[in-house]
Formats: sequence, C-alpha cells, structure tokens
Amino acid sequence: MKTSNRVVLSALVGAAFAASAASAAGNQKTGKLQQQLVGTWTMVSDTVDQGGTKVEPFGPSPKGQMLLTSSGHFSIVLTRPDVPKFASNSRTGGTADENKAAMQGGIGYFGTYTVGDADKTVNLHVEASTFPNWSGTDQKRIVALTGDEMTVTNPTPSIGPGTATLVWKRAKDARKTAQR
Amino acid sequence: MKTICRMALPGLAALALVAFAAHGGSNQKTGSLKQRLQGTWTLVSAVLDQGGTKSEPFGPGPKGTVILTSNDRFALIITRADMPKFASNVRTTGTAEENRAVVQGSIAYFGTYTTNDADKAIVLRNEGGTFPNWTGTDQKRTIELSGDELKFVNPNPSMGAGVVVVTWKRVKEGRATASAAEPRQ
Repeated sequence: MKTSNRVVLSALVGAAFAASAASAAGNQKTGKLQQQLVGTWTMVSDTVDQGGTKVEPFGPSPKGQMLLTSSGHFSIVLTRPDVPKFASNSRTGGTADENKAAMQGGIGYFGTYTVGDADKTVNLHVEASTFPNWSGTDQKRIVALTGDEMTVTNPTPSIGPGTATLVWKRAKDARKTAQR
Repeated sequence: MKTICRMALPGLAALALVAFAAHGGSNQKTGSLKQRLQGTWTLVSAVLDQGGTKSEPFGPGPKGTVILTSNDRFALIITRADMPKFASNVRTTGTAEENRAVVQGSIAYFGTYTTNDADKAIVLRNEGGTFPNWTGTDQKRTIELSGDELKFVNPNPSMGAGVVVVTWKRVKEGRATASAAEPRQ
C-alpha cells in the first residue's frame, strides 16, 4: 500500500510538472498548430506580389501586432508609421488627404479564429474591421512556422489583386519589444 | 532517507498542483488590477459626454474588442456597425466619403500597457494605430471594474472635447464565443 502510494504520488508530481511546463512553454515544435500559434506576434514585413511586381502596402518599416488567444480570439492591427498626423488633432476632423492616408496606411480587424492542422491554415472569422468590406467575412490564411518566425500568406489582400506575404516574429517580452 | 522522500513527495505534489492552478486562473475577483484586467473583452457601448449632452461616437451597437495579455501587451479596436462597404472592394481606393466614414467611425491601436492600482488606472502605450496622432503617445484611462464589466473612462477622447466612457464585458470561457483566456507567452 505504501509503495503504491509513493508510485501514485510520483506520477502526480510528474504529471503536474509536465502540465505546468507545457502551459508555460511558448514555442513547442510539436503539438497542434493552434498551440504553436497562440501568443503575441510583431510584424516584420508585409509584401504583396502583384504578378512579379512587389509592393509594401504599409511601407518599408510597417508596425503591426497580431494577438491569437488560447480561447480562439484574434486581433490584428497593421499600420504605416509615416501616416501624417491630423492637423486638427481630432480623429473626426481629418481633411480628405489625411483621411485617405490613414485609410490607406492602416487596418485593424478582430474576431474568432479556427485552425486547419491538415492544410496548415488559419481561418479568421472577422467580426468587424476598419476595412468594412471584411466585416462578417472569413479570411483564410496559409501559415508556415520556423522557430519564432511565422509567415502568413494571403491570396486575397485588401489592396486588391496579388498575394500578400506577412512575416511575424513572436514577441518574447513586452519590455524589450516596446523599445523597438 | 526514504522517510524524507516520502514526506517531501506529497509536499512537492501539492506545490506543483497549486502552482498549476494559479497559472490557469484568469478571472480573479481579487488580486492586482493587472491580473483582473487580463483577458479578452468585448465592447458594450461607447458614450461621449460633452457637458451633459450625451452621444454615441461610434453609433448604436458598435463593435469592438480589447485584449490585455499577461505579457503586458494590448490591442484595442472599435468600429461603427454601419460603415458602408467600399464600392471598389479595395481598401486603398476608397472615395473621399468612404475614407471619411471609416476614419470617423473606427479606431484601432496596439502596444504595451501598465496598470496603477493606487489610482485605478491603465496606461496604454500606443506603438501603432489607425489614428496617427496617438502613435507614440500614452493613453491613460481610469478603470471601473464590477464583476465581468469593465469601464474605461477617457478624459481626452480622439474626437476632441468631452469625456468618453467605454464599457466592456468579459468574454466568457467557451470556444464559440471565445473566452477570457490570456495568450500564452
């Protein structure tokens, strides 16, 4: 009886530590795709290939963040850092040019997401977006993971024809990434 | 030696289980403000009070979310529910009217955040967003928390004078509606 107690306890300790370690580890090489995707991602680049011509819709140094929660929620915001500030300092007092630059230089969208392990896809169920045409739509993306880098391929970018390739880097620590 | 092992094991098991349980808890009623704010919140309403005159800057039934992660990052998005779709179906070729409707009817930004328990405040450090004037700024909000309801009180709203109260509701656990869980780091 005492021996079996010890065995049970050892197993419990092992299981508890294993579970704790698994939940703390942020970069598993194995496991379902969603487990690998959950977390905070910082945008590295966004390139759209329009039949051989490559454009950077958010400029050469885009700013962006993607949050993918373990509960199945996502939030994505992409911006150009060089969109001119509004002279009025009021979001609702922009000139036509200011509005155009802001509209062309930024996008935000959120909702829930599902993951396809077999075809390595993320399906973003967009609840709402600053690009109204995406609100209520599903946006399917192909993902490829290499270490702390994720490449997301989008065959239907919001700027029209072409294929967008977004590269993301896992945000390790907020205090460090905040200094970028 | 064997006795020590037998005594140590239950203690270790208990410690490990306690640590694991604490790590999984995301909806504390007690604890620091930061712990209580972490999670996914969905927008209930945004109301602007300009000297007693109240209005809804994002119209009736606005859509929005704020996610506050355990690793100090946030993303906040609010949109009107009735922004017209672009006729061109391309984000970069909107008409002046279409662009204006979006810029006036939405906001999205992200960055890092800090909390202050003493004055019940959150400071959103804006790294980037759709309103360029806020990029690089700190946006301080006073917090009111009551159960699963959270209010951000903003004395410096992006549309000018007045005080905006943005009310959020914690998203419950559950896959379909997606929950309060924190992104793993």
